[in-house]
Amino acid sequence: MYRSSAGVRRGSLLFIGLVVGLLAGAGALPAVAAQTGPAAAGTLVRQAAVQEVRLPGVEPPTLDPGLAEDLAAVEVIKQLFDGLVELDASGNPTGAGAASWTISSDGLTYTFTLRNGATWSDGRPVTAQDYAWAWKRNVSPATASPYANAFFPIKNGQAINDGELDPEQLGVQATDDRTLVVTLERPASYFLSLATTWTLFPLRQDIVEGYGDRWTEAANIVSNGPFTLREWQHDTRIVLERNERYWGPKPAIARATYTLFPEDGAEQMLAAYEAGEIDTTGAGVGSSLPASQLDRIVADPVLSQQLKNFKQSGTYFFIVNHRRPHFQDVRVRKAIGMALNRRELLDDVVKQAGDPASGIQPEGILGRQPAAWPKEDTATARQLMTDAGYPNGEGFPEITLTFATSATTRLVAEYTQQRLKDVLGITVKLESMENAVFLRWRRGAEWERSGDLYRASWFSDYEDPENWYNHVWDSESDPGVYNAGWQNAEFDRLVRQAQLETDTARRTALYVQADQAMAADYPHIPLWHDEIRSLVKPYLKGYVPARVLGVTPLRAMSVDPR
Amino acid sequence: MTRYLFRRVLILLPVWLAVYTLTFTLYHVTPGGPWDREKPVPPQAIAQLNQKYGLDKPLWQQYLDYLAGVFTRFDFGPSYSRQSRNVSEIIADLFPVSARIGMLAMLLAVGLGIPLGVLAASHHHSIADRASMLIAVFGVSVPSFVVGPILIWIFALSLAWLPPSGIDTWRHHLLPALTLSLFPMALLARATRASLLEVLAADYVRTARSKGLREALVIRRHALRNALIPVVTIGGILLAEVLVGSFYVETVFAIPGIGRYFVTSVTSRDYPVLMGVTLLMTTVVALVNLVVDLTYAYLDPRIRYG
Amino acid sequence: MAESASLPPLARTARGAGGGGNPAGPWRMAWRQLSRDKLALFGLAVLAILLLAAAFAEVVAPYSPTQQNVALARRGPSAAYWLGTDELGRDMLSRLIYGARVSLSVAIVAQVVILLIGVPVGAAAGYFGGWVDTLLSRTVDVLYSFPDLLLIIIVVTSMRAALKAESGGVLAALASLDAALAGMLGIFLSLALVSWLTVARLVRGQVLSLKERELVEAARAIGATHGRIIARHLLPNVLPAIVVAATLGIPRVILIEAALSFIGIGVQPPTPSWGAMILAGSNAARGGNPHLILGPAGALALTVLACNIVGDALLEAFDPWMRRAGRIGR
Repeated sequence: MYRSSAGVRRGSLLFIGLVVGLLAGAGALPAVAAQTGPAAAGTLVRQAAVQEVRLPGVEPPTLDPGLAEDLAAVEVIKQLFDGLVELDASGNPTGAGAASWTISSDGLTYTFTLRNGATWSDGRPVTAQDYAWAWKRNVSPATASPYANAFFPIKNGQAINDGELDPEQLGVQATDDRTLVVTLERPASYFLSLATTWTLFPLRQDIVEGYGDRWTEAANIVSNGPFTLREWQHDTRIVLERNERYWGPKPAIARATYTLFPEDGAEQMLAAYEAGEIDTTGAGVGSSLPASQLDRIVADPVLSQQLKNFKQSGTYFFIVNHRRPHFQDVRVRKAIGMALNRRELLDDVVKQAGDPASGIQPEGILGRQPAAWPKEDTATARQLMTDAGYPNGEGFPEITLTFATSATTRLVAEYTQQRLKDVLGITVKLESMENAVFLRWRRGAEWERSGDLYRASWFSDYEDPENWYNHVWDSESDPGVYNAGWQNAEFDRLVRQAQLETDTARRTALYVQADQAMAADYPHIPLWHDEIRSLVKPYLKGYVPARVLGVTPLRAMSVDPR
Repeated sequence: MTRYLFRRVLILLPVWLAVYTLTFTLYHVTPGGPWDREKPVPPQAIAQLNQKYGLDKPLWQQYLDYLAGVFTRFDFGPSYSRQSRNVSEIIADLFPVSARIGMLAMLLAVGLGIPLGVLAASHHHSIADRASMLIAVFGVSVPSFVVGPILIWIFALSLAWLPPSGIDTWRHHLLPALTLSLFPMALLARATRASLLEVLAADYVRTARSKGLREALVIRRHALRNALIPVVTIGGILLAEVLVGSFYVETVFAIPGIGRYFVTSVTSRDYPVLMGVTLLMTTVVALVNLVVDLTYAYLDPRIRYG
Repeated sequence: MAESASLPPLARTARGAGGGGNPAGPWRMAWRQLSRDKLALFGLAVLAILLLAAAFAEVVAPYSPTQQNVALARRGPSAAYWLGTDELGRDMLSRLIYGARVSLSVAIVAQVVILLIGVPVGAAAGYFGGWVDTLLSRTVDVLYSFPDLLLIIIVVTSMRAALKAESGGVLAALASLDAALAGMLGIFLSLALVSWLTVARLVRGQVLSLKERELVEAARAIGATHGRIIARHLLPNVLPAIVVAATLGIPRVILIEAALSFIGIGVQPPTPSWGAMILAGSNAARGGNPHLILGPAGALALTVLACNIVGDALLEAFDPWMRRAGRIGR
């Protein structure tokens, strides 16, 4: 059909203009609104009156203490909320939300007396019911909390989470507004450490039920910690403000701004630090200084003075598949562990901070016996392989080292491949997988059947040996954790006994024996204990991230006025 | 004309359905799920999460439930990796950011790229031509995750003229837009040059020249319009790409945009976000195609749609 | 306006007007013209050197690409290591040469497949119009807005899983092919599958514009079949756009391969590829080790430059043939 070409052209032009205009408008309007941003980058004027600190962060998947499992989430949650207890510098529990507590002689009943004057950020007092309700809500299968197993030591905790009992049956009761009685399933001297974790923080029933999924948005959230959530601009920034109603010592910091970076954002954080937009490169997710810049930083007269090292309660290791016949011999496993040069790997290859590990459990975990674990020794390693029947690696099958790809892990894998070839003569094939595929694979039958080694890590949720020996290495927990198939009857016996032991000295002794048993059996290949290397501006005082999960000690920090 | 437009918009519905079905199928065939983390999550918790989000229902039911949600409530679902937000909010927050930077990048690319191509073609084999080829090679072969950090190094760290990351003020938009524009700019320059060269050698152009018209007039009035057709095609493809954001640019400059979010939704198997952003991209592509097709009609009056 | 490096328009026209139906003509004419263009020869030489180096890497490369020497990590260029060493002390030059194998083969194979699918689809859509156009265009739209990444992940992962399962017959043959290609089979396939759409679009646009010209009417009038019209008259005029797209598509594929390394489905380590090396060195300049990025980025830029030079020269060389094909009515 004929159409006037001029008409077509005019009409087309109009439509094109309309669409382009719409698209531009969709972009332009928010741009106008975004003109009011925070103070321009690079201004370093600090007023003595308002102490403000600017930190790097990563968008937390959630700020709900019952649903959090992620470092990014825990970092913020621990500023916003207080639990019953917290651990002091020496690792002893001190009261936070609870002023005092008593433990029954059989170790099964804990009675907490809540602190007078502890309030929520909206003024309402924190009551025992807030704790009781929160715990019942978090253990309920309907909430689907990834840390519901924190409640398993409590009476009926596991049964409730299995769906067999109603959450009301949980062994926790608010006998009055300020008294919380907890009944345990069996003695657990680590319970107070457990109580420092976020799943056991109190929650406000009216807020959580009233706002549903949105209760953690800045406009709705109510918290009981030293800081409140002033602003959460998703993927952009989180602003915390000092809670003036807080019962405890008033933090020097009045305002903390987290600028949110992508995960693996170490380069971006460093650039922001050097541009003066943040006060430290941090100690959380993706915060370690990028390997590509380390030499330059160390050589820089100004930056080298701002370098700090922070130990963390975590270890990296290779998990060994114990179902594979060639890994049954402990001499093979030891040979592999002893053949690596971890210092060279850390300093020269990946250029990361870290403490070369002989054993698996890091500093701060009672019972660890690093001396009992074999040391790096290439000659002995070769000898062990020969003794095991594989002189110079002859006859040893090709093994696969699997990992989820990242720049660092790739280098670790390539280094290991070459090193094991050079020292032991064994051939390692590398297999890098997409992250989600890898995480699913290591739980499945294919890993069990044909996998050899994969790179993994564990970071303490709380600094208690139970979180390592029982939670991770007990053969009963193994299928849900690393699925390595390692079983040592002696080790299991020791740690299960230790779990129930209430006397500290006896408990420690049991864990010492367990660590020695583990060292003798060398089930997995320790790599290094985690350390964070960070840049900290000289005017930022008191920045010592916690060993557990690198949490920023905001309440203890201050900014030097200029 | 209106009938044509109406038809084009109407056809979006089966396209959406096809994209939805294809994405749904592919997602459920790909190994890996949304709940696995580096720190092992207990299998029981994974089962509970699947139940909470309805992922244990039979696939056909999940397929229909989602469609029902979209058509009756405009509900595109919650995000699996951002538990206090739903997909519509996330897209409404992130898309304008990406679109803004994309439009700016496209303006730069068109404003600099096409004239560069015209310059090269009209001075074929001269220094200007060679130089433009070198510039285009640079733009195409150096990826944004290399250019970006270098620009940050120069402008944000050494000179401190611009901020290194973020998206708060207009200053924050410049470096990302510049980085994003380099590839399209180079591509448009090359395409313009090649197309214009071909047209300039045509008979009717020589006719115009032999009439004594000035070269510039020849180019503008006769040659350029025809030469621009393939350029518009390429421009359209580029526009659709940059509007939905570049993962690399948004990562390097720590920009909260949809490009970055889309890739993380794939790697973290955040299905509702993946689906929502895919459907958004379908819409953007369809709109841009429409604009391109209409631009053809504008440039070449012989093309008709009826 | 034209320099002595290329023939003046008059001569070109004369040759074109000479006509002649010899199909071998355009190729011989093209070669004759190419061989006079020094720049084109340079481009061809560079490409030839790259391809030869890649093919004969074992002979050409001074070191093994995987031999580590951690004590010499991240050193700049020196007499022993012409382009320096990487994070594990491996020779950059050797890794670039072996990396050429991977990167170039990915790029070339992918481009060929892309053209084989994209050109016919685009030509059909543009030429036949109507419901054919609608169907093909909307299919392209659907595939275009589709999350490529998901498709790539699923294709590569399933292929790896299937080939590992060690069953016989076809799968075993594919497995050995895959092993020969350093695990790249899935990547070739998935890259081609997600990248042909652009070419299809381009071709459609050009054909749409060209089909209205009188030459097509005339050809139809004398009874030429659709196929003949498309092949002899339309496609040659689409060629410039395709050549541009192909020459620029090659580096694009190499960079997509780098992107895939980013999320763990690129070439398996320790096999080097330019894309992965560029990714690893992307921040090296500011860190004081510019050689980590200059080597791979330079190699890529050189390849792109050579492709462009050759592409341009091809365009010019084919010019008379194209213009003869489209001569009526232009």
